[in-house]
Amino acid sequence: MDFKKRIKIRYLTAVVYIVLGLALAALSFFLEGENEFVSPFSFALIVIGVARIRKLSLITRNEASLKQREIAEGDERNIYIMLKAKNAAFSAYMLLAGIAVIVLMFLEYTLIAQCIGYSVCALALIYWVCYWIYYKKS
Amino acid sequence: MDNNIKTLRKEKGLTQDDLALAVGVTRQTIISLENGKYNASLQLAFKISSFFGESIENVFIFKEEE
Repeated sequence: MDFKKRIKIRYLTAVVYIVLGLALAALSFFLEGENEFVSPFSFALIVIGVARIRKLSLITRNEASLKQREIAEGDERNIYIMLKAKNAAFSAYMLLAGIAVIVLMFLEYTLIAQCIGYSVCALALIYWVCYWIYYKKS
Repeated sequence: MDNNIKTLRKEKGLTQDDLALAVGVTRQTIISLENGKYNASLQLAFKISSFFGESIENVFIFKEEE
């Protein structure tokens, strides 16, 4: 996809974040009782949206910075590093979550341990599905 | 894998930035390639070789891992 088109999509996504944040903020205003989750979440969405728009405006301020960004995003070494980091993060998460499940079970935080356990299983399942898809494709 | 990128680049009187821009990568990638810290993909290897007007064997030297 053309880089300028991708930038446009990112702008749109940021606008969607802001709109969603504002909608949630309005909802939390009209909600009665506890809304400890909705209000900070809406604020976070608005902040993320604004920050993204600010970042995108810096990228698109001139052709040179746009070209520089395009090269940086398509740079194969950057992609290689990103994939390696993702791989390491995935492995670390699996290991730490496994340890956390055992420790939490000992401390009798069964529900939390179960939730973490399910997330590890889900991640492993997604990994195998993705592996199978790429295996068939290549 | 060893390579002659630095030598060829200097012969042409180019900066790392010039080469990076010509082959569509960042300067950091060129630095890593020249220092032997990163192995180029086949696509990038061909791009660099054709930019210098050399065959791929003249730019990249394959060494079997010991």
